[in-house]
Amino acid sequence: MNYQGQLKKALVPFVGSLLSIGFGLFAVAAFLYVTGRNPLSIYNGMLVSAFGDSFALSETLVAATPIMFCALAVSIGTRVGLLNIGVEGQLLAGAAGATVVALNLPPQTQALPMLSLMCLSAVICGAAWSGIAGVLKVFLQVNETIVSLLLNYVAVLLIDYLIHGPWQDPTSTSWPQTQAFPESAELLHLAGSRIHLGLPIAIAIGLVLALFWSTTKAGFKSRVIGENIEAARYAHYHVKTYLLVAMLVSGMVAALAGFAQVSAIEGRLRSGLSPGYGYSGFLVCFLARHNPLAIIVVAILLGGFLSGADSLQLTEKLPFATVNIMQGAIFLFLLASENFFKKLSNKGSAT
Amino acid sequence: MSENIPFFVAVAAGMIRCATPVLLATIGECVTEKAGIFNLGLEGIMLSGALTAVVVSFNTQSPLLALLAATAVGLLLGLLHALICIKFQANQVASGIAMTIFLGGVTAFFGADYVGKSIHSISQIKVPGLGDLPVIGQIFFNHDPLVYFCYVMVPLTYWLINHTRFGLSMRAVGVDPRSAAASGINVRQVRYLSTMLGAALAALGGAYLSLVYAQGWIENIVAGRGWIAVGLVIFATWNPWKALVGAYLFGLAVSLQLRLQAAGSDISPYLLGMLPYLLVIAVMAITAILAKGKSQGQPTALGIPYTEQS
Repeated sequence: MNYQGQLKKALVPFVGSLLSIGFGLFAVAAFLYVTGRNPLSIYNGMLVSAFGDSFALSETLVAATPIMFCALAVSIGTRVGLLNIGVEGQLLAGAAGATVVALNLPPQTQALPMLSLMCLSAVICGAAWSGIAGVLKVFLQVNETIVSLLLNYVAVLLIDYLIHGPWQDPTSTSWPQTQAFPESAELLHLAGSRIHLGLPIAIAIGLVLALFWSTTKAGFKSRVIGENIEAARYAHYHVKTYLLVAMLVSGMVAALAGFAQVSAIEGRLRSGLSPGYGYSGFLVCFLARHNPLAIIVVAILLGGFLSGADSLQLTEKLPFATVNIMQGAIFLFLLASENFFKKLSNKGSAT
Repeated sequence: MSENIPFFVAVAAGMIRCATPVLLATIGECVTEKAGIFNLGLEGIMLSGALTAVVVSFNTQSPLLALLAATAVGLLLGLLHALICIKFQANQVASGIAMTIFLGGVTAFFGADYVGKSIHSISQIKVPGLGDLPVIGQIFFNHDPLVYFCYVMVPLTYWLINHTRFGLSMRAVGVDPRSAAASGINVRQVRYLSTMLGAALAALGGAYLSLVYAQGWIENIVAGRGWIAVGLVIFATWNPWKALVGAYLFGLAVSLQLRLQAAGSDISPYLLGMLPYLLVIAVMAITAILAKGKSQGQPTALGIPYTEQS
């Protein structure tokens, strides 16, 4: 393969993702136009409130953080051929895990032990949540996608149960939420903004994953398992161990998103904690072609959509559902065009 | 329902009603998957069917037109999923999830105007004769016509899959599309039709949810029933009769949960609400244990894009 062929192979998927985003935005613009809105002013508004000034940019990064965690979590699964769409539920399990520590440790606990224990508890809960689907997949060949999806609904109900019941703030029974966390349970913020330590942690995880998959033997084996599980079995890889570990780690990374949200953003556990970060993460992982470095960039882009649409909810009365329409349209275009671009890039490498 | 009906009869009659939307979607997915296409867009398609039915019923006062419109929308969305999976050979699981995100957004967007609007529901019709039977009549034959439609559809889809020429083609295409093509079957056509048929049944299930069950539009009214249907297909091993058993088990869990809540049970409604989801997971696990690796009737080409050249 010559240099040009390699370049083409790398560039074509990138162009494909970019075009899908373009098509998705175009489709939604048409949709907005038909429903009597001005798509240009809406997109302009979104752009300004997503990337227009330093405050907008900081809010974009805030929204991008949980998406980044979730997309990386999804990519850990897809690398070995698992489709874990339960990241939404694992995020919530992580949030609950962090909350149980924040509410039960004495409030005067130092920040470091408090946050470490919250994080540990979140990660354990996330792994337990994804572990259900993982164990069923590995030992009984039960479809992990469906089990993890169903567990998302259970997780939402579990949070609802906790904040309406045993964990409800005793001082204000009218709101379904826990009491505010002590100050020591708040994750470090960048001065003057809502950007928190979660962002560098997520980026670090992305870098570690990229290194792990490209330089280690276990990373190489993961890829083989994901691309051809029969070959991996034939080569006597410990396929079951790899699948289970991937599922557990995936749940842990998703749980970190939940931990960061309750600790740094909400300061308590409440319902509506995630407007579907898990599903956005799934889209980001596919848009980034499961590449952890690309996920970091695409997550920020999608964080911009989310935060831009969020502010337009107030100013333009744009329903939040528009974001899901946009995400869905981009995703559908991406999937429909994937095969076309794959053929194109193969053609490039064949010459 | 009047006071003098015994608890178990009320639960059982509720079971039938709660099961119907899931049952329609499940037998639809049996048909789709038998031909080798995995449709995880069921959740979104049910949502679309539900909203279409509400919009048409509200504007025309005709439940029949509402059902027809929901079916048409189901056929179209099945076509869309089939296009993405067959023509463009995309990852079928991802396509289903993308469809659900997209349709979840679309229905929430257009549904906002219909929240809380009262609509023309479908009235109950007692089956003459059978409906007067003690207990049995109250449980099975005092429902709306869609429930009876479901009673007919289960044997009908079973017959379609196992005893018709089209069913034979479907099964062949689902197991080994290349051999099927070699023996003169139009693989794509069979898969397109099966996906559209399955999606239409799912959309009808959604319409049942909004027209009969909730009698109006609620955002995210389907609440995971689409995924539940996909899970139940695995339990049912692609057999509509077993799908009936699975859906009724699910219906029983929901009905029992609703009755317990109405009776003022101490258990939190949120905990009770988990029951149906956990039940389906448990049922999938038990099916896997019983099958011990050799699952009967599995379409082995399920989820694999079909290409003529290898």
